Amino acid sequence: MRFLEFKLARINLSDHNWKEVKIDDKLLRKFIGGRGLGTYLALKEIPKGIDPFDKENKIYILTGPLTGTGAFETGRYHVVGKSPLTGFLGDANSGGDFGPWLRFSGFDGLIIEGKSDYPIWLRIEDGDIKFNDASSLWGKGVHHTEKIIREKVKISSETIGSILSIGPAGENKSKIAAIMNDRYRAAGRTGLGAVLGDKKLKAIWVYGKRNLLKEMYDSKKFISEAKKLTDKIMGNPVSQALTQLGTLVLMNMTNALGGLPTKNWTHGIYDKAFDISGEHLAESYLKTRKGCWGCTIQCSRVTEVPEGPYKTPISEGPEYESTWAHGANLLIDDISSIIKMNYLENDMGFDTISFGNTVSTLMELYELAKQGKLDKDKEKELIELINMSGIEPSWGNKDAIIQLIYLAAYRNKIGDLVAEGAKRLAEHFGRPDVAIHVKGLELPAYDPRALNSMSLSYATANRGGCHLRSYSVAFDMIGSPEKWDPLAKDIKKVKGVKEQQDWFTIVDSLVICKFNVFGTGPSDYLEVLKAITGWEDMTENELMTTGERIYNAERLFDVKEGEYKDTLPKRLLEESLPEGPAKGHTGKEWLDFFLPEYYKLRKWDNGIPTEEIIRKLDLEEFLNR
Amino acid sequence: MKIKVRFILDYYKYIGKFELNLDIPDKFTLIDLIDYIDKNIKKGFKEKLLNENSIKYPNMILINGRRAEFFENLNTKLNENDQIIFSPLAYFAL
Ligand code: SF4
Repeated sequence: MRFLEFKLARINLSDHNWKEVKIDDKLLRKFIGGRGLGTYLALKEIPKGIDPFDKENKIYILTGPLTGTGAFETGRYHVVGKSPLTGFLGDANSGGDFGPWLRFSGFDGLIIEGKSDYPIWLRIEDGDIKFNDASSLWGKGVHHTEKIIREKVKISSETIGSILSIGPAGENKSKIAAIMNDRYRAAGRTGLGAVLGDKKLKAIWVYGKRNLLKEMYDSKKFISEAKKLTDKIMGNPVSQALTQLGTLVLMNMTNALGGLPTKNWTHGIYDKAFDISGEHLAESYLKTRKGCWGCTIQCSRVTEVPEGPYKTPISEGPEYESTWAHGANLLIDDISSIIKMNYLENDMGFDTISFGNTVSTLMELYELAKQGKLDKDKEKELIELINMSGIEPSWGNKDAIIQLIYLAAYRNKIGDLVAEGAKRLAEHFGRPDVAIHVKGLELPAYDPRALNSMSLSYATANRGGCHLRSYSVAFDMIGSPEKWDPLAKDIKKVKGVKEQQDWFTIVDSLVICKFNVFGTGPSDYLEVLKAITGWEDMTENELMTTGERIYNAERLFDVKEGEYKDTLPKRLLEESLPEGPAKGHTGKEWLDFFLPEYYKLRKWDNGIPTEEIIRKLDLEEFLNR
Repeated sequence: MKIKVRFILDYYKYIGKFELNLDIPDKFTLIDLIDYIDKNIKKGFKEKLLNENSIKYPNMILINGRRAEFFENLNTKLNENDQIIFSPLAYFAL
C-alpha cells in the first residue's frame, strides 16, 4: 500500500528537453489533480500579466487520480493555461482515450513550456519522451495528422494508444482554436489550441503499459467500490436515456421552454428545431454510438452523410451545443450540413461553440452593414473583405459557413477576423453589443432569460461564458436534482449554483465525466478516491471545501489579469425575449436579484475573494500574487 | 378549440409523430386531453404517462413551455392555441 503521487513531465520546447516533476500526496490532497492542480501550477508558474503568446505561458495537460482507473467514465483529461481568447485563466476538458493512455504512458500530466523554433511532435511511451520534427505535418488537418502519426508509430488500431493534436486553426493562432484528441474530441473552450500553435507543438502520441491498479492504496477495495458506483449510475433512468439518445436530447425541450438561442440570441424559439433535433438525427444520419475510454454510457453519436452536397464520411458528432451553434443560432435547419460543418471544424481544430457564435456575429454585422447601420468606414471594410472572400454570409447560408471554416483556419481575408472570436470581431466593426460572450468566451446553447439560474451561472463562471462550471439547467429545465421554476426569483438557487460550481470543480479535478454526476454526489466518489489515494480520513465536507478552494484559486488568478466583471452580454442583460414563456424577461432582472446574494455566500467583495475566505481556504500563498 | 400537441424523445417514437393539430372541446383540461389521446390516438398512452392521477417519473408535460405543475397540474384548463408537450426527462446535453 502506498499513498498517491503524481509524476509529471516538464517539457521544454525551447531546448527540446524534459524532466520529471513529482507532485506529492499533500499537494494533491489540496488540489486533487486535473483542473485543481492545473490552477495551482498556473498560479505558481505563469507570471502575472503576460501575453498568452509569451513563451512564459504554459499549458498543463493533466489527468486526475480517477483517470484511466475504470471507476466509471474516467476517460477524460483537463487542460489549463492562460487563454488568448479571454486573457484570463483558460481551461478545457476532453474525453476520448487520451487521458487514460497518457497515464498508461507513465505520466499523470505534462507541463508544456517554452517555444520551439520549428514544429514538433512528441512521442511518449513507457516513461520516455522523444522530440520529432513535425514540419511535414504543419498545415494538415487533425484527421490527416493522426493518420500519419499512426503510420510512424506503426499502430493503426485507434483503440491502442492515443493522439492529441492541433489543426491549422491552432497553428495559425486562432483565438478560438481547440486542442483535439482522438480525431473528434476537443478540449475546446478558451482557445488553448492557439497556445500550442504558438509553441509549435503539433501533436503528442501516448502509449504505454503502466498498470494503475498496482499503484493504488487498496486495489481490492477499489474494485468493489467501483462496482457499486457503476451499478448506481447505470440504474439511473437518465443514464439510460443518454445511451439511447445522446446529447441532442434537449433541442426540442430547450426550444419548448423558449430558451433555444436563435439568430444570434435575438429569439428564444426556433420554428425548425425539430429538423436539428436528436429525434430527427436518429431517423436520418445516425449510424451507431460510441463512448470515451471505458464508458458504458456511450453518449457520442456516430453519423454519416452518404451522398449529396454535404457528403461526410462516418464520423463522431455533432453534439447538442455544436448543432445549436450552427443550427438555430444561424437559422440552419439542414442537419446534414451541420454534420459536415462539425466534421470540418474538428479537422481544422476549432471550438465549435465559439465558431458558431462568431459566425452569427458576422452574419448580424453583415446584415447591419447592408442596412447601413455600421459606421461608413467599417461598413466599407466589411463589405470589401466579404466580397474579396467570395461569400455571402447571410442567415441560413450553409455554403458560406463551410467556406468560412477554411478561411478562418488559415486566417485568410474575412477569416482572419473570424479567427479572433466573436468579441474581437464585433469590436473591430464598432458594434461590441452584437457579440454574445461573457469575459470574452462565447456562450453555449441556453438562454438565461428563459432559464434564469443560468444568468448567475454564466456571469460568475470563472473561465467566462460557460455552462459547465454550473449546469443549473438541470434544476431549471428538468427539475433534477431539485425542481426549480425557471422563471422564479427564488433565492435558494444561489446556493444551488454555488455548490454545483464547487462540486463540478472537483469533478474536473478527479477527472471524471460530468454526465454521471447528476445521479451521484461527492459521497459516492469518496470511497473510490480513498481506495486509490489512501486518504482514509477524507470527508465529503473536505471534498467540497477543496472544490471551493480551487474555485477561489482560479479567481485569484483572474482578478489580477485585467478588468474582470461578472455580468452578461448587453443584449441578454437589457433586451427581453420577444416570444414564448419567458417573453418580456431580461437577464438584468434575474442577475440583479441573484448576484449580491452570491457574493455574500462566497465571501467575495464585488467578485474579488476577501482575505477572510482566502485564509479560510488555505490560499494565503497567493494573497499577493 | 384548436391546440397543438408535440411528442418528443420516447413519445415521438411511441406516437410516431412529432406534432398533432387537434380540435378539442372547449373547457378541456390536461387530463381530458390525455384521455382523448389515449382513446383516439394511442391506446396505453395514459398508462405510460400517469400513475393513478399523477405524472409518472421520469415524465414531463409542458403547457406553453411551462411545466404542468406550475399551473394546476392535470386539472389545468386548456385554451385555444395552447401548445402541449409530452416528454420523458432527459437532461444530458452538457
Ligand atoms: S458519458 Fe459520454 S462524454 Fe461522458 S465519458 Fe461516457 S461517452 Fe464520454
